[in-house]
Amino acid sequence: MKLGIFTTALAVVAAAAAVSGARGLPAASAEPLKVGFVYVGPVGDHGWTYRHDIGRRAVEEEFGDKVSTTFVESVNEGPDAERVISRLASEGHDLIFTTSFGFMNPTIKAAERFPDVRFEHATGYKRADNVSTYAGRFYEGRYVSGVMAGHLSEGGVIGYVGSFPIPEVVRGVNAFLLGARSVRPDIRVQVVWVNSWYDPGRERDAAQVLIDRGADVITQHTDSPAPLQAAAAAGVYAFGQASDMIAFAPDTQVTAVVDNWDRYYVARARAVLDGDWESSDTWGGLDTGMVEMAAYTNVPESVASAARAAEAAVRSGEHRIFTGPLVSRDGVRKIGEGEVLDDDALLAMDWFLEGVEGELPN
Amino acid sequence: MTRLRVEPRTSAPLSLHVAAFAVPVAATALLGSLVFLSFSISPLAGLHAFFVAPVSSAHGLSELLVKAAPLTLIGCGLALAFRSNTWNIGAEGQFTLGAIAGCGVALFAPWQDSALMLPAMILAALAAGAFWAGIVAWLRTRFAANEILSSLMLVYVAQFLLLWLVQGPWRDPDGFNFPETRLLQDAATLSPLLPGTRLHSGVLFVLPAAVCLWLILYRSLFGFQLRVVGAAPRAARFAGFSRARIIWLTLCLGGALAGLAGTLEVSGVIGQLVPRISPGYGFTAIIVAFLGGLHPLGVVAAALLVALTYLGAETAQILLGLPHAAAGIFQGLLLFTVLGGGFLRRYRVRVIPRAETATAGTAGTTKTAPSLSSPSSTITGTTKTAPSLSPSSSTTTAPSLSSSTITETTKTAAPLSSSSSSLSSTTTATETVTGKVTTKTTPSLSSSSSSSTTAGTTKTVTKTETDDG
Repeated sequence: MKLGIFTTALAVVAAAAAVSGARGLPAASAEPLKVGFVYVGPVGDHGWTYRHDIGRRAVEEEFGDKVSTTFVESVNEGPDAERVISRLASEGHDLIFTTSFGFMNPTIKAAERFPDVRFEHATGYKRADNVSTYAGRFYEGRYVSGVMAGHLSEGGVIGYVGSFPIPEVVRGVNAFLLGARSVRPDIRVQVVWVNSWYDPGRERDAAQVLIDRGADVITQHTDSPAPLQAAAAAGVYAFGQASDMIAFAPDTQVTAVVDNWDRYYVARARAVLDGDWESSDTWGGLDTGMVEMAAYTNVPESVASAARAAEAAVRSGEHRIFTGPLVSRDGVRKIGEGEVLDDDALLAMDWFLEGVEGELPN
Repeated sequence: MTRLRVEPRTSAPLSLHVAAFAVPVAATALLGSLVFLSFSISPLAGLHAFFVAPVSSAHGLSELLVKAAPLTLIGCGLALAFRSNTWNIGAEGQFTLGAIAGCGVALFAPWQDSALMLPAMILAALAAGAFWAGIVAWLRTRFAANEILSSLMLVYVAQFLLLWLVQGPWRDPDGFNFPETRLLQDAATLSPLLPGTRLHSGVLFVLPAAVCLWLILYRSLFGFQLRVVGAAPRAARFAGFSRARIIWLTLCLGGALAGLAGTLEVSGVIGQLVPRISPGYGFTAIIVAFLGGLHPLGVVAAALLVALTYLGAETAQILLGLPHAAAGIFQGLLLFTVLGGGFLRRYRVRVIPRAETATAGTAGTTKTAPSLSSPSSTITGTTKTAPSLSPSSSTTTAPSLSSSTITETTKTAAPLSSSSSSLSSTTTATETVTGKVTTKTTPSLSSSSSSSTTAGTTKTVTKTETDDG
């Protein structure tokens, strides 16, 4: 057996090697800018990764022959990530987008090894001369979703399928609650963690548990449409995540917080082509178009117009979501009357507001 | 109705060995070509991306070793356990606990920057992995709890322990509340062997560990006992070998190695604890162990092959745009054909026409079990042994015990299929003890379908074997 493995492996490698020698490599001609993307989920997740891939295609459309793009999907946020990132760099990619928080340290390490390659890491906080960070203020969209949920919920309990209890997600939960409570001050949000970004089975189970416990609106911070589908099956209102998921719940999706990376990706690729790329930190919201709301559907016009008003107020900056007084559910005063939480506080948020139920590991 | 019967081969001519690797290679190339072609990719380019491109540079080779190292360490330990019919499915949990223990030492030991740090981390990881597997051994030997279930369940316990630690007490205070520990200090980080690559000095543990396990398995009394317990449980009991001791030792040794792999991964590759430290090494290593023929040195080769397919899957995505799922299909095809080739080299499949099935019990030289004309007896005939006294004529081990010669084959069923206790004893043994032939068959699962009278008859003629009495 063991000999068999050796010989099999050797034979396969040898055969392929012999063949490849004769094959010749494709001729490199005009040297397009090679842009690489590392995805945490499959491009067909219809959510987070899907939207990043739309952004990649926008780059291809914009620049045509001047760029060529590559992606690697379903990359584990563990020891494999650094290898994939390095591999892309060593294959001649000049600009590499790593699109999940868990790729942060692998990106930084790969960037040290490839100082001439530019890296762009989504949702992290570590930068370097050749590493930029970017993220969307998705919590703004979640606030608008919350406003709708406040109108739609009859029982006053909203189910929230969470991925990991990281600040990004915690912030979204609090923003959602603030939106809902701006309409109906007794609303409660129940959070269930699935400890994964993409796990349709567990996401669906979590949504079902929340529905069984009495939630009559479901929202999610995971990447697949599974919670939305579970809600649709139960006839419960729900929100799409990262992309417009109306196809999965034609009668129950009320809107979706849509990530739109197209403009950012095109701009960054252009910067490299023009030779003026610099490390930067971007956190775009509704105002920059990095966050968009899908069409308001399946709701009475009064709810849709309330949502439109909230969206407009947030976009213009007229309404600041995290305006004091804010007290965490543990009774800690976070900010006083009239003050607004700054970005540093938002980026490190590890507390829930009163009204959020569910464990928050600390 | 014709039946298929799988029988161990009694001889293995050279042509068979040639076929056993030529056929899988050809089958993989052929089936893989179909996968590539369905994505409009030239098969040659596909094979090149899978098997050549990933290792065509020093960097690629270093990544191959980095990926194969944990698979080898875990796979070797599992091979030992599996050889003794102890089904440790929870190496992923032992890996996780080793990583936790090693990292815990790095975070909290008072000798933060001392040279003692790495040895202390490794010792802690060995102990933690052995402890986690020891729980399984204790449940098995004390309460006869099925080790497949208990070891698997402990994987989830370990993963939730890791999650709790990185989200709570061990979270990096300067990490914006993200669920990660701080990065390990230099003293707790394995030095790189090759500058500019991730090849770390932990890889140096791998080959010596595999050789040690080979020595233990084939050159020590313990290894001999282990093999006899696995291959011939009854003979092992005659000889006075302690099944419980073997369970304890194989589980703890495997657990320690998985724990070592865990801490090497954290210290050499990741550099901190994060919610997900393993892309399923503990489970992949089960495949690796079987692919390596449950032989420590075979495991080394198998780990390299499996690691190469993972690298190849990524490279095919990067170079050819082959989707992740299609790369997974190709990977599965390769493992399937190679495992299948290994199986067909050791066993042959005979087609038994309907007419023969009635007399199959006594027909041929391979079966000395009493004939039960019930159809179920033919179905169970998957492991009927040839009562051969020549140890070299069979690929299975034939340990000789003082005055008696015992030849047995074990059923190498997939570990999960032995989850029911009745299956775990489906070892059919034919023993020749001082010239007298005694034969035992175990009732198969399907015997429940036969009438109680038949079952009763079976028992009067044969004796039921349980391997862990």
